[in-house]
Amino acid sequence: MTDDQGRFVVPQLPAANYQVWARGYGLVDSARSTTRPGHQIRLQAITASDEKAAARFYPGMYWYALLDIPKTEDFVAGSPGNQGMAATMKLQSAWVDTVKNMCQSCHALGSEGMRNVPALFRKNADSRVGWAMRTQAGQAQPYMAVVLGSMGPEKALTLFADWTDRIATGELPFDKPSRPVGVERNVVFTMWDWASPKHYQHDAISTDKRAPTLNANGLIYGSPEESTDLVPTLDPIRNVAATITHPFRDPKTPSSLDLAHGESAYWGMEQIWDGHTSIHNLIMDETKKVWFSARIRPEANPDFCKKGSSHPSAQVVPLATSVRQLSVYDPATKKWDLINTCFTTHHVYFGHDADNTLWSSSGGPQSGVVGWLNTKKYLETHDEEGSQGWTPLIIDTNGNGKRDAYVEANQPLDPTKDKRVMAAFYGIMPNPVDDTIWGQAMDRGFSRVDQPGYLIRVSPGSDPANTALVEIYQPPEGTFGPRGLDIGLDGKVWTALSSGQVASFDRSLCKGPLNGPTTAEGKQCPEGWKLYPLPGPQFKNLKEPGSANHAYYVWVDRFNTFGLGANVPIASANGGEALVAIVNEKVVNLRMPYPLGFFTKNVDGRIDDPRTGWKGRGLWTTSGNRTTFHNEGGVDNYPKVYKVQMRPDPLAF
Amino acid sequence: MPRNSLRLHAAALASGFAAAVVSVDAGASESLARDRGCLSCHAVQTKVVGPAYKDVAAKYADQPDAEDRLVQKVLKGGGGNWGFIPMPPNTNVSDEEARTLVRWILSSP
Repeated sequence: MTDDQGRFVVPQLPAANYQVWARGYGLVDSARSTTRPGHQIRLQAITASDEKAAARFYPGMYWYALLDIPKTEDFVAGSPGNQGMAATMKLQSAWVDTVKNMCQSCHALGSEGMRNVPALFRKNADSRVGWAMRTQAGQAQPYMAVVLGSMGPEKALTLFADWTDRIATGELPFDKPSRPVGVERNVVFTMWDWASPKHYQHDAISTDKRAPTLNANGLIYGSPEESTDLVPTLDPIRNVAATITHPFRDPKTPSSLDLAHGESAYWGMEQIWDGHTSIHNLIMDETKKVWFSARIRPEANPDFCKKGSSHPSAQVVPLATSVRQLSVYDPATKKWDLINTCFTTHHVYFGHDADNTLWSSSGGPQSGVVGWLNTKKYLETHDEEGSQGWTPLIIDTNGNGKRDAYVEANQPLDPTKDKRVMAAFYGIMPNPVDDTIWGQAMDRGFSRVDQPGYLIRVSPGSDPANTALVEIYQPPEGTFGPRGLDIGLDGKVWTALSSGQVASFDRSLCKGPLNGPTTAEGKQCPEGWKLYPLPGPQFKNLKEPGSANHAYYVWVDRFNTFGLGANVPIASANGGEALVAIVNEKVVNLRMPYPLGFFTKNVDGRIDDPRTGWKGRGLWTTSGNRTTFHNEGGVDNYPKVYKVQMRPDPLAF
Repeated sequence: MPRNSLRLHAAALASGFAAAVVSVDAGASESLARDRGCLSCHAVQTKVVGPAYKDVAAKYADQPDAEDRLVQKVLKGGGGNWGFIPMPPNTNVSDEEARTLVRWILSSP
């Protein structure tokens, strides 16, 4: 970013030739100048000749805010607007949650590659057919079919086709972004290519979240989810990208090559994904071992997970299947361990206990359990059966302070019993200030289960499978769709809402009872919430407060690894192609302008050298968009790994 | 024959020969449909993205060449019969598997 006078400094570059040009809101790209570190150059910013030229560089959300959202009355069965909508789609909030937490979850919706329909799909005069074919392209075809089925494909495809038809005939964003101000101008993004243009990443990890000076200047690791078994690494000192092959245990482990697939406008019928291991998320322990949420075998569970097993957790809730398990890679020995869990894994985070317990979410709510691995025991014994456990999520609705017999989630309250909530965690985080585990269950759009999204607080107790009790908290009236969760060293819980806010929840502010029958729906304690609207406009035809902007996850910078302070939450606001921080109650919007389509699913922070100020610290993240080729650069575009730093001013170097 | 199998008496062939008797293993066919991704878009009883299989069976019940035509649709894709959403070609399905799937679909109650 420049300072107020338009001066700029690009810091910390290795010796090479670089192309430099000016990009900004209200501008079009200037001519590219070639230069080397240590030289001064002068760029001439070029004002956009019209709104269309300027809008090309707006974040995607300014374009996808033009998408029509069905009106509230359209969700009434039999109404004219209900035509083509799935019978299970009953709420406008569920529709918005689906658009954001399913469509935008993998694609930068308003980016150039999304708002412009490729020629391959414009052959049919009916643009709805083009959109149907578009959603059948590539190996995500079955996944997108499930999402469309949940919305009502005719309705959804009609609205998406209408959206791109209007853009094709000249409709432009009705709002425009503001230029960065204050500390927003101090941000520096450094990026490296890694992996390959055919593969995408989900997350990246650089250190132990609990002690972020670990692995200083060391390798960054990525997680390529469905795309490949090749775990990318980056050596940020030598600028070397490499890969490590993630193994799997069973040769019948499902492969992305088995997925139904349609013709891609970018890759034809080539199957560009060949992953078996579905590596979703990863975390580093205090010895630099890297733990992965990864698939190692087909989904049928071993007998010790199932009914009739003597495993303590199986006796409470037997589990027949899991779609993803665990693995651990030791960089010192370059060896892998594959760990067969009964519960599905999704996001993994370490607790703060002597057993170094690794807690795992499951993604969707269907399993109804939260699982853990005692990693100390596992590393000592390699006893995967005896080192793991899981528990159902039981609310203390009879209010006696202990776990009792319970009614299932779909049964009415019984004053003598507790009640189960049929949820598993999506985001998960052990609380750094006590022994509770917090998680977050997804709303209807993602879960396709007719219940709202919650924050969930678990008190494990002495024997978690039999003693764990939970409290659930719905976002306040008028908001919905929590996604991702983290907790600061102050105990404050943060999440992102698909209604368009970053939200904090402080349980210590709750006034009413937190157990008993009135807490069964999680509506207690609206006073614990605080909302911070995401930057950018609401959908064009929505009157409800909020923003069309959407954040995939939220991460709390407990140790000021970035430079905006300790316990600052940072949301991956992909609608705005930015990271959004909440600093002293104010929203700080850190836009990444190149390549267009910045989209990330997690953030990590590391301090390489605490003595060197901003230069020795920074955030690490990676491209999370499943279709990197939709972004500026097209099929030549590699996924990126980004280092994000906060200078004291735009001219620091 | 597995317990969940049924015997399908296919419609008389156009040539006038006696009706063929075709065995359909419903459980195995459903597994195949799941493995090949068919059930992402279809269900037996309800419309999802594509039509319910019971509706397909009803529509083609009296058409002697239905099996062959539908096998080609599974393999090469099709559109225009059930709204504007086309079915993509299923390149991950073999000829033999397509026939197994179609026989099962046409047997849907």
